[in-house]
Amino acid sequence: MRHLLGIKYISESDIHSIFQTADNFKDVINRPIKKVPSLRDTTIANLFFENSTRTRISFELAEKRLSADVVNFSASSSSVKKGETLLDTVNNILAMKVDMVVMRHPNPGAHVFLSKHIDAQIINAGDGTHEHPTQALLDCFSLREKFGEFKGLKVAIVGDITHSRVALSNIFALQKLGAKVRVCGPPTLIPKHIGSLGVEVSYDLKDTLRWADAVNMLRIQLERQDIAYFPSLREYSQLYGLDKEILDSLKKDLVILHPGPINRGVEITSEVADSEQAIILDQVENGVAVRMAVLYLLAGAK
Amino acid sequence: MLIQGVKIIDPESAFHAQICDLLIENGIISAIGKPGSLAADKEEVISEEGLHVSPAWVDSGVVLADPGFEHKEKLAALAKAAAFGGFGRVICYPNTDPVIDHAQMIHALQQRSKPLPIHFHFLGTISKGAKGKELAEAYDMQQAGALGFSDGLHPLQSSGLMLRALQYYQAFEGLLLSYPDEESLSHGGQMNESAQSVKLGLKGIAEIAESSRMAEFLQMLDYAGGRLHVQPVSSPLALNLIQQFHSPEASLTVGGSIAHLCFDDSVLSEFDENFKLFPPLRDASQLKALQKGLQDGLYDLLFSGHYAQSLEEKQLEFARAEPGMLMLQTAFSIANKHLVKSGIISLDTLIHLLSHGPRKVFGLPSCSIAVGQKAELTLFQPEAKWTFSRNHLFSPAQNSPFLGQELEGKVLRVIC
Repeated sequence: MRHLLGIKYISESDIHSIFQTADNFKDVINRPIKKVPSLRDTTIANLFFENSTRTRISFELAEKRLSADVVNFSASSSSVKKGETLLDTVNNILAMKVDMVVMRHPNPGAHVFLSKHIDAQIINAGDGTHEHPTQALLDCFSLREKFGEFKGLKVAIVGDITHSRVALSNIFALQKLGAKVRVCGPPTLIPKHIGSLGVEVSYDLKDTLRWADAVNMLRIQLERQDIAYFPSLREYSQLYGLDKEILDSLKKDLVILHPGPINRGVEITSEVADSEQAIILDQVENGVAVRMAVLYLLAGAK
Repeated sequence: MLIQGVKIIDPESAFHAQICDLLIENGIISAIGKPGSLAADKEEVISEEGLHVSPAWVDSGVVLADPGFEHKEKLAALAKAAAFGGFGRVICYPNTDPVIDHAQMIHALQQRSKPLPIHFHFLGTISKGAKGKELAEAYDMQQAGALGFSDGLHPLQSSGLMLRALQYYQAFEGLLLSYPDEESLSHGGQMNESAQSVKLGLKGIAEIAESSRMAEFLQMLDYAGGRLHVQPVSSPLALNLIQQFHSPEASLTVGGSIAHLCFDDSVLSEFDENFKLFPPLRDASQLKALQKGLQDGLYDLLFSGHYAQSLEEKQLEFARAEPGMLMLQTAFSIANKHLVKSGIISLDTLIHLLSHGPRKVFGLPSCSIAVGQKAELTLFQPEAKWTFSRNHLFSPAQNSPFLGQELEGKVLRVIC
């Protein structure tokens, strides 16, 4: 692995080695002294061309716990608004001798584009509606803690599948690991050709939850929808919102994931989000360990 | 000029498929004889291995950037690219700035293109400013030399405008040209809607954006009569509708884009912005259906779709890159490899679709290889290999996915 551009571009054994490394780092971050010197003298630029709080902080903590030197850049305070191209912005930063780039960008394929033009190693922290590989890795790492293995595991992804990079990366990762995937959401937000990826498709939340061992409830990202794909959040919530009543009716220990930030009362009610079955905060903790593992393995591969 | 041992590819010539010597004097084909039968004491003698000759090719789908977008490609550079690619005539879309929506623009462009090595023809816009609202002065433009009317890069959306254009143009046998696009379906799309668009997370354009508009085009044409040329047709569903269309009052012709008939959207797997086109490249099964349509004779002509883009417009993330690719230089080689060598169509058919086909659709004088005819010829070697390099670029634009590739089928020169 030279870059992490997407789950699509890595193998099952890459994913397993990330998990094994993350196991070790999870131990590290639960010690009183949370820092290791692995990435000393490595400079990492976090380039966020799109708003992010948790992913940016998670990466920054992971980098700092590996003793890397870190610079942060966000689009709001940048030259992007002055019309500079992505390539110019990144080349300017690389001219200051940066080894690795962690980037979030609104355009699908921005990282693949960049990898054709620059030498630094690139980690994709989300590219538009394409991939969000570290989110999928931390989701799967969290499932691995719960279930041990993936063979035969049934995972449902519910929400706006069309505009979700989390969904796409999770589909690729879960399938590489041997899990079964079903997507569920309003028909207007499920790509017509999604079946070609080998996933099941359903428009029925209850049926999907009865089928699943675990469910990843996606956030409805109104900012990524250029037109209205459903009439109102109220109606979305009536059809695809997960509440206590549905959960109790299932009579099983469904594991609930959410990539955050949660729209409480839209895709998931507070009662469910704060329940024993939700592993949302485990995901956040695992995010740091998984990102440490990715950074560590990429630095070693250089 | 004496051309020795050249194979004639021209189904309308008595010498079709024969190897001959060809003598050209004062721009006229003055003699055609058996190899070695014509005295070789001429000033210029051309003799190359595997040389073929056909009536000069015509490209009916070129995006003109000059005036307005000279940083992409100037008129003279376009002429060089066309001549290099074997095209003796190009028919340009009217999307310059200002757009070609009145006769004076056509006069001015004709003046400027006169000294250039190939012949230029222009389409006028359907609507004033290509804004899709009011009819532009089509008769005046046709008198000035416009070969047809199209809003070009802004395909017709208004049914009312289309109806009025189809009806009005019948007063002077004007030709209406458009790509069938339903903008409310294609808006914001980056590529074809397919398994590939799902994998790449790019917004797809469903084939029905083209085929649903095609259905409307055909109903309008049947109702109004007139002459309609649809190009490109890149949807198998649209081709089916075309195949079933019969209307005694109307004339319908169909143009095919070479890239759309040679490539499927798997070429986008690494987000190659040079393959970003509008309409988008279809998927493998759709491509197969389009190629079947080509075999069945549903296309009247093939064109390059040449559209120069500067680095500033193309060397960007996929979603921000402008659509279009340089195609004039490589159109023949690409079609030769992907359509002829792979057995989809014969070389004769390809050459017909590049020469007689567009001349018929656009009413250009016919052009055949016979003694006494004007020498308007393309000399080419279908078996010759060459590498497309930066030396073959004539403008700052570099938006070809084929740069650096070895291609098969080379143009020696165009005489026109």
